[in-house]
Amino acid sequence: MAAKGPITAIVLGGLKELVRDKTSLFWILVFPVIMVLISGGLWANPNPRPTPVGVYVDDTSSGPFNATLVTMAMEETGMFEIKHYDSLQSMLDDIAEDGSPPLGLYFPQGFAANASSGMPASIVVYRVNVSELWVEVDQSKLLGFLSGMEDRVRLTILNYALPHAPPGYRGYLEALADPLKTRVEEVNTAREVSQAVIAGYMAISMVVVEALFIGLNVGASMIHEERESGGLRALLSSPVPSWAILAGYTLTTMVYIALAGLASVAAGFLIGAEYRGLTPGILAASAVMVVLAGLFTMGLGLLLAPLARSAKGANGLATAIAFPLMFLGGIWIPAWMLPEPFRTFAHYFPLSRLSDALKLMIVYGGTPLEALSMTPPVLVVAIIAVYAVGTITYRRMLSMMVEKA
Amino acid sequence: MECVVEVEGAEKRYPGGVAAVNNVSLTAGRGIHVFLGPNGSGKSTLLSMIAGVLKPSAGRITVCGKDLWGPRGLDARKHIGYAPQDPPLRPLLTGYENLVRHALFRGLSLGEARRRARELLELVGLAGAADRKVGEYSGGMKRRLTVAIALVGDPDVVVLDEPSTGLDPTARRELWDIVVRLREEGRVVLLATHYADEAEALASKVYIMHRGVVAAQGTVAELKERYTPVSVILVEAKEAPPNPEEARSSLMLPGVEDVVVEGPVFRVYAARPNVVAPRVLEAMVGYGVEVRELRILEPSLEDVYFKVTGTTLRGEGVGG
Ligand SMILES: Nc1ncnc2c1ncn2[C@@H]1O[C@H](COP(=O)(O)OP(=O)(O)O)[C@@H](O)[C@H]1O
Ligand SMILES: [Mg+2]
Repeated sequence: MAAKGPITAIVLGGLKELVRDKTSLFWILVFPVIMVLISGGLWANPNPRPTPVGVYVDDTSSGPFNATLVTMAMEETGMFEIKHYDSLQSMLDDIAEDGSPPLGLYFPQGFAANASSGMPASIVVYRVNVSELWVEVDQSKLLGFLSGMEDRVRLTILNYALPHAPPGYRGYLEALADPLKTRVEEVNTAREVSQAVIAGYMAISMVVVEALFIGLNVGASMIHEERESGGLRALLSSPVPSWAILAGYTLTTMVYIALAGLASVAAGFLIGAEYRGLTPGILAASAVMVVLAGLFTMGLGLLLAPLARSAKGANGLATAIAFPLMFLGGIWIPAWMLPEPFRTFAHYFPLSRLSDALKLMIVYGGTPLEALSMTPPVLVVAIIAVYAVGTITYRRMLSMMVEKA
Repeated sequence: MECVVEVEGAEKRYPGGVAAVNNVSLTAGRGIHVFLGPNGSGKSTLLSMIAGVLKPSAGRITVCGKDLWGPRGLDARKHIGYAPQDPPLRPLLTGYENLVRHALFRGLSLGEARRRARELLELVGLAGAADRKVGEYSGGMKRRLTVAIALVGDPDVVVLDEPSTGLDPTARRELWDIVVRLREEGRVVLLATHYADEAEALASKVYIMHRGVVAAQGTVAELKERYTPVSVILVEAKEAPPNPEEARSSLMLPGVEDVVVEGPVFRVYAARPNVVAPRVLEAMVGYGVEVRELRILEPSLEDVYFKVTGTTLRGEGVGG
């Protein structure tokens, strides 16, 4: 096939140039590692300060398992800083005013009596209604503590009740025992936040961030670079069809993304990421998604190319666009944390969908099928359309350059 | 079948500018076809169109019978090797790697490409620098590598745009040897230069390029015969005359065909130089010009160029 040689030439040349060009090496291999390590380091100890928690006790009933016991136990862990209120309203006002404390714990009437006698006891967690990751972390700390507490209550109840129960009833009792009715008010999410998950999240995000940077840069600058190095003249005078040049560059982009992706994933390992379920199916589905991400960003880059006059200008433009997209496109910062209208934008932004699908499989242990449901056909069609329009733009630029040389 | 380059009414107009190439027609078979002209005369524009990288505004170019800009354009390009005026090199790759890259563009297998690259590096005298990055090459080395790139696909038609610019005299001779060998191998060589001696040394046929047109064409002997059946009396004055036009007319003596004044240098064209020379000297002294040297020259292509275009190969001059 006539195009095999040119494609090989472009990919081989691209790899050799990558190895010899310190700037590209930095962006493709060093930058993702630094980003993952730094952000992972920030998160490694997600919240060293004790979490401030407001407490208001409305309960006048008595019993050994009471609000005082719970709050004392909380303080003893060193994880919480308790602030007592004498009315629910003043606590809610504090939370509402400036999110300090971000969380409040409300013990309603009858808590001690119920909890101590094996009856379900209600408890309400108030949470400031902002989408900020620290609040998520604080909240999951509190909920984690409460559920630990609940286990201990459950054990106490069981130990108390079992001697009176007929043999074989333990299972039924366990199923029934749900001593703490914890209700969270104004909750957006209560997600699992562990170091392994955070590290994995960052590493996989970085793969997509790299796809964004590499695709935009290569797509926007390739034609300018070929023209400036005089290579375009040589290509135009040789029997190479324009699609083969494009295929060569697209493949080069994919190889760059793969290298950057491996670097990111390896950096994730260093900070304790656990990648769940790296089955052949997941690897294959991930490869497809990374390729889709690369096609999309390369297509965008090709669309940007006519706006620049030189390779340098094209790289500047690509980076100027990639940076905000990295933060506001729901890739590096989760979409749910973004303010409107970026949240809606991220919802429709293909890279954010692909990145979520990748994380679902690799970080949260979802199946390829579940991940694929996050990349519906319309998304794939949109991505291919962007790439196709990009190639048309490229061909038009090429024929304009043939007119001007 | 012999491969021929045919250009019919080729034209290139840039938006807002005059025609860089205007209605050029030619048929070039085996041999060395030299396009001679100063900077800006349209050589590169014409050769770019023939090499298939610049689309003519009008006209038709075929290579080995295939229309370069028609549906079989890629086929036509298989016959072409092109060394552009600006070397098409990737600075981060070595000379060897650059050649392999272009060989792959030409459809050679990786093995063939490597073998061909070594062979050509040897040919252009760069074997010793094969594994150095091209970014570290001198201008002359880049030029030689560019010539090697033109040859990588074993082309029927070799287009060389100013291949000897920046070469030292030895390297220039070596390049000429390569070009002569290409002719002996039966290829069509199209070569642009602004050096008259290069044209004289190499050309099977010379095309005098002037402001985008081929002002005259023929073998070196034909051109000399047609345009300078006279010798040149070269007079070098101590300094340039204050009024070249006036100086020129004062030398238009009987027996003098033409006079060209270029700074302090006077070229006096005459059929019988031995008779005319003393009179010229006399007239110059009379005009108040201090003469430093007087020589009688055989006409050169440079003189032909001047006779045809009224300008010199270094730029515009004054005269007939
Ligand atoms: N891309 C371009 N746009 C506009 N004018 C051009 C362009 N390239 C060349 N020219 C003009 O065309 C003329 C011929 O240039 P060129 O073919 O490079 O001459 P040469 O190779 O003989 O020096 C010059 O006047 C030059 O300024
Ligand atoms: Mg030129």
